[in-house]
Amino acid sequence: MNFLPPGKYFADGNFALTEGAIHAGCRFFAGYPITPSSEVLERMSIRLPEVGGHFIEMEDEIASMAAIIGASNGGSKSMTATSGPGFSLMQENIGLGVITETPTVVLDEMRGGPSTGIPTRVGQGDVMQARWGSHGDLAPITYAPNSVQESFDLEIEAFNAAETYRQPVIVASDQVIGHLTEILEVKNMEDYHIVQRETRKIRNGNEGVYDYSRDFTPMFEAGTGFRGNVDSLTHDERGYPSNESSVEKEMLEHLLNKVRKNEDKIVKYEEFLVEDSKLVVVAYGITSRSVKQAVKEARKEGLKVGMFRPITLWPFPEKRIRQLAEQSKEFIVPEINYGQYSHSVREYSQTEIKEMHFPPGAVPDYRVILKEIERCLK
Amino acid sequence: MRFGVRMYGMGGQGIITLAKLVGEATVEDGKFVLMTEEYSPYITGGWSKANLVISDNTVDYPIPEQIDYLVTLSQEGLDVNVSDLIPNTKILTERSLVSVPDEWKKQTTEISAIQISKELKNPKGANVVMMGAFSGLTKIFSEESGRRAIAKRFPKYVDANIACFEKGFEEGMKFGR
Repeated sequence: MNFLPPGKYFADGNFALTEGAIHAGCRFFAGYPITPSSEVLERMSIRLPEVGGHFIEMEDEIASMAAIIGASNGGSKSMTATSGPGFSLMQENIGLGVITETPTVVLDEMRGGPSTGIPTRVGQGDVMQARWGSHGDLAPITYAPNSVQESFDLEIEAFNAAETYRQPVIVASDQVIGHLTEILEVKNMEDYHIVQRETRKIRNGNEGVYDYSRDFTPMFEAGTGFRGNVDSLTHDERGYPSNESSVEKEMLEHLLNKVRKNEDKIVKYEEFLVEDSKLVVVAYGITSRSVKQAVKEARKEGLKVGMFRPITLWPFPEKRIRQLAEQSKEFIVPEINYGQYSHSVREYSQTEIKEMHFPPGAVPDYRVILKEIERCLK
Repeated sequence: MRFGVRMYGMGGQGIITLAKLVGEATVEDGKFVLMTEEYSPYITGGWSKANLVISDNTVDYPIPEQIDYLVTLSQEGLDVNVSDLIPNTKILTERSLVSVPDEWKKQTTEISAIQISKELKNPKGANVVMMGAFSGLTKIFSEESGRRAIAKRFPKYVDANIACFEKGFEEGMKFGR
């Protein structure tokens, strides 16, 4: 089988994430098995050889991340899949991907932590790690699917974003979504927009590896004649390392601005009944499905409440949150952690935030969220 | 209509596969199904559990609000789930592994799925016998959709599994509405 044929499937999130990646053109996977993302690795080991790709089970997650950066520089769209503990190990090399402007996709299926925590059960404790986990300044792009359908669709979008913005892109799913089985509808291949990588094979004169006057410079493909330098040290447009603050400024502002200037294009969210809402519940991933149910029930009671769901956790949907803050007197932020994304909602909305902390290990009960909505609005 | 099904057993018995087969067959019949799974951090012998929400409409909240049907292939599956059951919950158990207290007897159907699968020379097919029994007992999905789901999931072992399914269906029918 080449691509998953169009049709309706009763499939789980891990199946959808894998097939979405193959649709997007992923042809290299390196990883180390970890619950709950192991099925992605397992399926990749079968599927990639079928489509002419390569699969490697590495010795750990540090090496996995390094391998996909290498493969991507060699011309393959590449990804890895992990969960919290492995995601922690990958952080240094995620920074390597950022500074070398190497497109990769990192799937992190969140489970309960810290450390090995509750390996087989859900958590949402990696959202700040996705933002700030790697040292130095970066402008990460992170998608958070809340269904099997979105696991497929956002995986394609993550690859497109990685290729466009030339950096590691994170898909932050969770144990429940990864192991959730529901209906997945796959369209014809030509109905998907796939960003194909343009590469430079031959160096024209003094042409640099990077061009900071442009947001997007095509990569050069290693081994094809373009002899260039890819360095983890701060470098100039030729790719050569430098110790100068002025070079750091130029490079860093390029790395940050290529994302910041395009936030409007990258940011995605879903809104549910927010038009007239006096209270907005902000939720992502699996928690948003409990919230949607709670909002539906609350509306039956005549309570003016809506849901705002960031589909891209990062960049933060700053503009829209500010607008909603003018209309709503209060926000509720339920998460399967002890308060992470709520900090950013508070920072950007500059309004009253009610945090709801759900311990890892279970899907938040919508009735508990409903009670909180009632308490706020009655 | 929205109802919940819980399937429970030990790692290795094929509980997750059973739930996927039931879900696949029910989707074939045009319903919306959402299945979540959980297992203990052991491979064989730890607990394994799946929840199905079956509805005429799309499902947001993925956890069943009540357990209308409990299918269990282990004693633990009855013991730990008793507190989640409602007075009308229909229970389906593996006869050789689950002893059912008198108070739950009247709503319980005991199936010798393991024995049947051995008799049919497909000892791995006890979960498929249960699938058949579930269909025969509840009519949640049709026999035809059950066969199609099996053919999709086990393309190399269709006949052996259909035989298990049909025998289970027959057994379930005896106790069905």
